[in-house]
Amino acid sequence: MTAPSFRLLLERHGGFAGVPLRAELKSADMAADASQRLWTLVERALRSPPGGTAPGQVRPPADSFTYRLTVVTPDQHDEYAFDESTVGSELRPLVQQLEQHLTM
Amino acid sequence: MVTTPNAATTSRRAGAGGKAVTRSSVACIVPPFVLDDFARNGDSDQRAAALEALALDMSLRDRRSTAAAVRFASGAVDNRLLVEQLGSPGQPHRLIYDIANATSGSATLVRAEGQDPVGDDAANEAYDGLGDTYTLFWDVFQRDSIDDHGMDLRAIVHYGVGYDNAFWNGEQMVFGDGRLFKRFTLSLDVIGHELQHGVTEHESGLLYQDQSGALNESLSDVFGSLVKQYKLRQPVSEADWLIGADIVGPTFPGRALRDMADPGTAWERDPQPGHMDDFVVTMDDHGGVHINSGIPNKAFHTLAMSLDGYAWTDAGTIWYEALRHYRLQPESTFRAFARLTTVVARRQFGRQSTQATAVQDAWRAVGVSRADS
Ligand SMILES: [Zn+2]
Repeated sequence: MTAPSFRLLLERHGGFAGVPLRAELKSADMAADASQRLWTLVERALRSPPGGTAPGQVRPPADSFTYRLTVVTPDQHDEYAFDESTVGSELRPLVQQLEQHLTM
Repeated sequence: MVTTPNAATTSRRAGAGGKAVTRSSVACIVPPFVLDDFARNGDSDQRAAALEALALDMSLRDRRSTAAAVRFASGAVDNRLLVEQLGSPGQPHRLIYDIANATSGSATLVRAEGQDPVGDDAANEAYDGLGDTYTLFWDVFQRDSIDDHGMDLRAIVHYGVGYDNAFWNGEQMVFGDGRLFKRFTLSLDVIGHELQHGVTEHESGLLYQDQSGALNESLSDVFGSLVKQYKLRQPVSEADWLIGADIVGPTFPGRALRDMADPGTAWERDPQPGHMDDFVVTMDDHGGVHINSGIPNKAFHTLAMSLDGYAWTDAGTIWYEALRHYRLQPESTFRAFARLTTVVARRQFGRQSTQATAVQDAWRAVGVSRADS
């Protein structure tokens, strides 16, 4: 579907370093084709809402990251919290894309 | 999921092949971890028997007292026979794998125990760092690897692309090459920290969430720092008490990731508290495990400075015996651990000893214990 105007915020916490990082991307700041590609990743990621526990994952790996993903459009404002070890194949491309933009 | 060939945990003494001896050959042993298991999970008779056995000698879990356990269980067994049967304790068995910037799939074994250095700094650093960590645990605490049964020390290097992290996945240590930070194998305290996560998992199994998770994190910082101090033979006054100083670059706004001596000051937005008054409640970072670890970190530093000399001796031994105390449970709090360190210090050094008093003072100084406790 055609991308709405959107704002994405990814916050990464913990890991060995414990230094929180964040990345914020707004469709208004992006070229139309880039925002469309990114929105496709969002749609894929949200097919099954991020969060919960990975299959067979009794406890998270020590020093794994935790994430907070916020998706804002004219019609939605949703926040998802999840652990690195629960990031599956649908969510991973979006997380990896946003991680390219992480800063302190 | 990352896999290495034969990734299932193996122990030389668990009889999984190689030069190992099967358990059946020393079947009269009641291994201390079995006693622990009974004490925690057995039926009432098993619990009573296990607790009684453990109470005979709280240090049953070390090698020397394993021999005592044999005598306890069977009447009399020649200790020399036991040592022969246990294989070659005191020698690490390191296996370093390269996953070639992937985050899943199989990794290639690039350096095994006894092999010469290879043309990859990260692999050699992991190999050497695991050796240094094993050495501290063996020399000072007579612990034979992560499980105290000679478990292989497996590390994976070059995980991901510019991956700014290192972690313990329950079977092995995993190191990234870093982007914001330098490669994680550069730091001995990072390697020691990750290996300690394995030790903690094999002992109390402290849950990686909230206060028990912060205690888990702190234990890793404490023993990571001790690995470095022992390697450098530094007395407490010469140690830097910093975590991650070797992996922060010139653009990082600080001298390290954490400062055990002065939590909250390692970098410009360091969120670590050094006192319970400043305990941080958060949903992030598994409940702030890398944040609130500053409190027990500061308690250990306070104790070590108070006792002076080398931190791995009295202070380190008290912490080590407390972390493997059967009363340390997965959901234990700072206060529960503080009580155990006091119990251990009193037993080892005497009720009115300098060490026992210093332990209590250290926990009071960070607000974990009250002034009247
Ligand atoms: Zn850790």
